[in-house]
Order: sequence, then C-alpha cells, then structure tokens
Amino acid sequence: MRALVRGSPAAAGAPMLTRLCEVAVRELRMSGAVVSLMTPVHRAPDQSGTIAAASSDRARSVDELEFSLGEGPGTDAFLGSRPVLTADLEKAFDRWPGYVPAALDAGVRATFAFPMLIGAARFGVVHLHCSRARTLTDHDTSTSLMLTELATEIVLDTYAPVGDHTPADVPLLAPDYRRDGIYQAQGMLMVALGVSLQEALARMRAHAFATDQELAAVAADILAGRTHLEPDPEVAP
Amino acid sequence: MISTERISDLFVEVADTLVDRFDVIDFLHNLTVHAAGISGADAAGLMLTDQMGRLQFMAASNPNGETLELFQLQNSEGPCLDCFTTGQPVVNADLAHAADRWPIFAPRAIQLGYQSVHAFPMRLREHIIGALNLFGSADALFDAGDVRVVQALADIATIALMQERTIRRAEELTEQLQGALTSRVVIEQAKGAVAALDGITTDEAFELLRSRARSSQKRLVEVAQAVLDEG
Repeated sequence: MRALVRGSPAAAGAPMLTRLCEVAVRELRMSGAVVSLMTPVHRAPDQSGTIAAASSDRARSVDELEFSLGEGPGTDAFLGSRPVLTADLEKAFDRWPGYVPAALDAGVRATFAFPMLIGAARFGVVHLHCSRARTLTDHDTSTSLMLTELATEIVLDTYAPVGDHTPADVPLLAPDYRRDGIYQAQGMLMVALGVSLQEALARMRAHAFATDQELAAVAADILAGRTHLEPDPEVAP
Repeated sequence: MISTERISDLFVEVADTLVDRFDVIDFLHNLTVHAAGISGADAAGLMLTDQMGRLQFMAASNPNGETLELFQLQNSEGPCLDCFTTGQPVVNADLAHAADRWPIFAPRAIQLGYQSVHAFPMRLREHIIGALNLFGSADALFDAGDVRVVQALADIATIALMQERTIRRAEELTEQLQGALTSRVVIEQAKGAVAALDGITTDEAFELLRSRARSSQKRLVEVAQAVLDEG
C-alpha cells in the first residue's frame, strides 16, 4: 500500500495524495475518494476546509457540496475525531438534511469518512464515496485506516521540510509500543516552542531524520530535558 | 478465590460509569484495577485492536502490568496476543513451564515476580476487539467459577466501550473503537503539555488532569482536549 502511494522517493505533496485517492478507489471498489485539509474552528458552528486531492472532478464536487452546505459526514468525522461510516445515505436524511439529497443527486449512496489525526493533532479527512449502498468488510476497514494514516503522514511532512532527507520510507510514528513517549513529547514541545501540536510532531520528525535517530529516541530525549529544539520560523508552514 | 464483596462494589461502579459522562479511559483503567483485585491477580492489563492487525495498549492496574503489556507488543509474543489471535482464553498458564510457548515473554514476567498468567478475549459477535491480561503468583489459580467471572468482566469492558447494549451497525464498532484509541492519544499529548506548562512530571500531569476532570465533572479526554486547544 505504502509503495503504491509513495512511489518514487522524489514524489511529494499533492501528487502523492492524488495517487492515494486513486489507490483507494481501486483497492476499496469506491466510486470516488477525496482528501480534504481542515483546521479546527473552535466554537464555530461550521467547519471550512480545502480539497487537497481527489480521484476525479466528480468526487471533488461531492466534497465541495459539503463545504458549501456546512454539514456532512466529512465535517462530522473531523469535528468528532472518529470515523463516520454511512452504509446507506437514504437512511441518513435526519442527520444531514441538506447534504444527503445533494449527495444522492450527485450519485453517491454510501460514504466513509476517516479523520486524519494523531490524537488532538487533526489534519483533515479522507472521504470515500460509493455509488451503491454497502458496508466495509474488515479488510476494507483495515485498508481505509492504513490509507488514512499514510495521508496523515504525507500532509505532516509538508509542515516541516526535511531537505534532501525524504522520509518516504519511514513510517509515521515508529513502533507502536514506544508511541506514548512520542505523544507526550509532542505535547511538551507544543508548549515549549509555542507551535501547534501538528508542527511539534513535524519538528520532531525532521530532527530525527536530520540527526539519523529514531523518533522514539528523540522523544525520550525531549522528555528527559536532554534535547531542546529551537523555534525556527523559517520552517513554519 | 473471587471475593463476592468486591464484585458487588464493582457492579455498582460499572453501573455508575455506564449511566452518565462515561469516560472510556478512566473506566478501562478502573476495570483493570478491579479485575486484578477480585481475581487475586497482582497485575492486569488491557489491549485493543487498531483494526489494522495490531493491538494497542490501553490500560493497566499498575506499572508492572503496563510493562508486561508493552513487552508483549514489542516482541510480538505473549498470552494477550495469543488470546487475540485465537479468540480463546488463556487460563492458569504456568510461566515456569512456558519457555517453549513464550521464549521471550515468560522469562521477563518471571523476572518481574509473576508465576501465572491469564488472558481473556473481548468479543463482540464475530469480532475480537482486544484482550484482558492478568498476572499472578502461583497460588492465584482460577477455578471454573473464577474464569466465568473474569470473562464477564472482559465482556463488560466490551459493552462499556461500545456504549450501547447492541451495536446495530457493523460501522459503529469501527467508530467507537477508533474513537477510544484516539482518546488515549489525546490524553498522552495533554500529559506532555501539562508537564511542560507546570514544570512537573508526566505522571504528576496525569494525576492533575484526572483531578481536574473529577472536580469539573468532565470527561478526562475533554479536559485533555481543552489543554491542547488552549496551548
């Protein structure tokens, strides 16, 4: 999956997300896939975003609907920090009275929205559309979650460029059993540098690549007060 | 072996948590403490699947429980993983005679002072969503009645996690499970942020977050999220 999307090491940013959408459509038998980037708007009733990539213009226009109407599965997945999986939109009129008729008109019957996030660090949504009512098999769910994790990683890398050290083959967070320290260091760095939680992680990753260390080792040093990353406005997004 | 008095206390607490302002992370932590307490085990831990074929550590009754859960993940070996893979409980496994079964895990658990281990699947219909692990001394062997009670505890954890008596749609399992996994990450991030803000350790930060949640009657994850939003 990773190789399909990441492709050549030189590829980066939007083209990679477009390829990810294409892989999602093919592997999951969907009619469309869209990656939207969103920023949390606290205490605001609606949620705005931008579409970073789509499998087709048709798919893109479906998610544009959601932003113009101010409601929909992608918005709910982002705001609720959990997947919103709708096997049949015909049964979801109550939840999204504006979005459902418009989406059905556009030929979408089922949607599966997965938030791109690492805890409280939220980036956007991977939104899959299908022209017929259907559920996800366990395998589909696993594939969707992996693609979402990969999309998160691709977007995260745009926050802190790492020069020639393309982190294409380095997974998002290092082994599962060492992740807690990474999350804690991320929160700590957010406060210490006065940056967003997203950028804090991106900085840690960039530092890990630049110094040829594992992310978990960098995190452990930050937690122990042995490493102090400098605020550096030049690498801010 | 299982104390009926402690079971009654447990049911009261479970009923309370299921009613209102349910906090999944606090609940799972308390459940491991109770599971260890009523069964006479010295430590308990709980893991959930991330639905990508991996287990994630969620809660433990004490630091040894956490160490042994993470050790199993690190080495891809141990009773919790077996239980998750097969869907069958592991009961009264004698660590002194488990070197063939778990060549890496068994010596480590013995080193930490444990002699027996048990693991119970968390099951929702055909899905295995995680496992509850118990570690004990040699005389903490379970009889058939104990096994039923601890399996019931694992079932309660499953039901609580899903927050509904019946999950009607298969999709809800994914929504709830992923939500619970994310909650735990949010809390870890907040521990780091509070530690930096107040110049305290992450453990102290966790206690501070818990007491803030209690005094404000909010869920732990809400308090954690607020810290990160303000940061």
